[in-house]
Amino acid sequence: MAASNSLTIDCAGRPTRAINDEIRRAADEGVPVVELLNPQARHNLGVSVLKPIHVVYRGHVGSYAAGLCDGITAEIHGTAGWGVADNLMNGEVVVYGNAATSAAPSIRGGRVVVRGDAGPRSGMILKKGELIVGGNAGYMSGFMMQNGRMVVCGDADTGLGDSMYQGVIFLGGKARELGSGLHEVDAENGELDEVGALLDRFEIKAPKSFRKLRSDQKLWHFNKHDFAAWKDVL
Amino acid sequence: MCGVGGVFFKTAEHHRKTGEIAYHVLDGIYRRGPDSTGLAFVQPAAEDRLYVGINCEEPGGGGRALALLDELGRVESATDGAGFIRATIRYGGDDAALVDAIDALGPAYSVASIGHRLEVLKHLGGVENLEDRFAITDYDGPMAMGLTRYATESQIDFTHGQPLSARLHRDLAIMHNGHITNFHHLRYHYERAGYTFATGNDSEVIAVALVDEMGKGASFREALERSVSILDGCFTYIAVTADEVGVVKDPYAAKPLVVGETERLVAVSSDCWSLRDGVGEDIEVWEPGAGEVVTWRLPTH
Repeated sequence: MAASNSLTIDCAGRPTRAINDEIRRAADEGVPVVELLNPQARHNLGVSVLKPIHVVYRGHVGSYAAGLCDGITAEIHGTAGWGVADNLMNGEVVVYGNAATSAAPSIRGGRVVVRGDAGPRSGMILKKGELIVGGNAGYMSGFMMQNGRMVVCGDADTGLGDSMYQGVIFLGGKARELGSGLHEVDAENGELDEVGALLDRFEIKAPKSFRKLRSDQKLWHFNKHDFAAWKDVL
Repeated sequence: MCGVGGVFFKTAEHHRKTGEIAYHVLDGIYRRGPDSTGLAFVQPAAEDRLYVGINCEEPGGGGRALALLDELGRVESATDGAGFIRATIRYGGDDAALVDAIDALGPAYSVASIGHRLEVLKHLGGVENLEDRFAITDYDGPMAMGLTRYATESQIDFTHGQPLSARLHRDLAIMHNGHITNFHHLRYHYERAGYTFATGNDSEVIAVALVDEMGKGASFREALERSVSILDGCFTYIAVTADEVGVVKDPYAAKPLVVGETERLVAVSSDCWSLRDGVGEDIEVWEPGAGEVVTWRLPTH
């Protein structure tokens, strides 16, 4: 069966499970684009889609939109609730508004872009891939990051990158306080140009400069001589 | 898990009744707390007028409480909501005498709140039960803030439902989503300082802490700010007086709350759709951060 070019689903009045089944079926059949009307900040919209498809959310979404997905691309024309693109394996999710707590938690690949502000714990346990925040990032963003890249164009609240293992954070604005075990390093050649080009692509205004932050690795191994440092952790 | 939310108007003109907005906000967060629902309203003041809410856990026991109110003062209006009694009385006496007399009816009776301008209503189940008993959607005053409760640490009944007040303290109510882990420690401390707790709900200690701080001279806002370090655990709570509304998030931002503010109104809710459904507009929302306190003064008109 030849795939049609796009599918439009009006979410109003329909069970979330039926909507998600329809998106997955469309992805299986190779439909390139699905457009969701009236998402009405409903939770769990477009979760667990494991084949490539482009999902357009026309409105605000609730928690875990585009969660547990692999290889999808999505644009959310509104604000996103908690845990947008949770555990994304690969693909690209763009939020045009703000995102609530835990944007892109524990993603394993792909890219999540929040053009507005992101709430607390955004990018926590990031494992690979990247999170770009056009505005400010909330408390404890990048907490326990294990790898990957986080770009925050605005300011960050307290505990930025607290206890992160690996990966990097580029911070354009000020941090109210850096998290434990974080230090500033020099950016490598071309790294900032790459970030700048990405911001251009998503039409996000780049800050004047970026600080590159990463783990100082002091919390990797317990050392009783560093007990003072450990007392501040958690 | 509980849900908190509501609205207050900055303008005298309302595009939708305050009670209707509160109804839809609370209905939208029903799944966060199906056990009971409650609301706090700001009502018109009059000399010696007292808005009294009484928890009555004895089926059919409302008549006794109403008869007592009739003896103590002049009842202007009263509704026996089968479990919760709503009354407006004229009473010039001492608040403690009134509350003690109601408590003396027996363990099934307790005062949920007293207010010169603040009124509290509660019922079991969803907001439709509150509507059935008390016609909350008729309310079109300046403020209505409420909670849908998912009981975790104390029983499901009228007494333990929210909003909660500090016993004997007029015109203050809190609606709390979360749990206070140092509740027993704080309760012991406040009881030694002379406070009496009316319920076994950990959230009650928030109201007591605010009253205590304001008694020491703190403003409403300062009391809310101090509560962030006094309380331990997860909390997003709304506090209201007859003049002010505040929202407070714990230092871990563990519980959701979004705020939408326009020139006409301020609405808050645990869920952004419930907020937008309530106000009937697609307004911008934002989420207060960790340990953040936001307060507003209610307009005087």
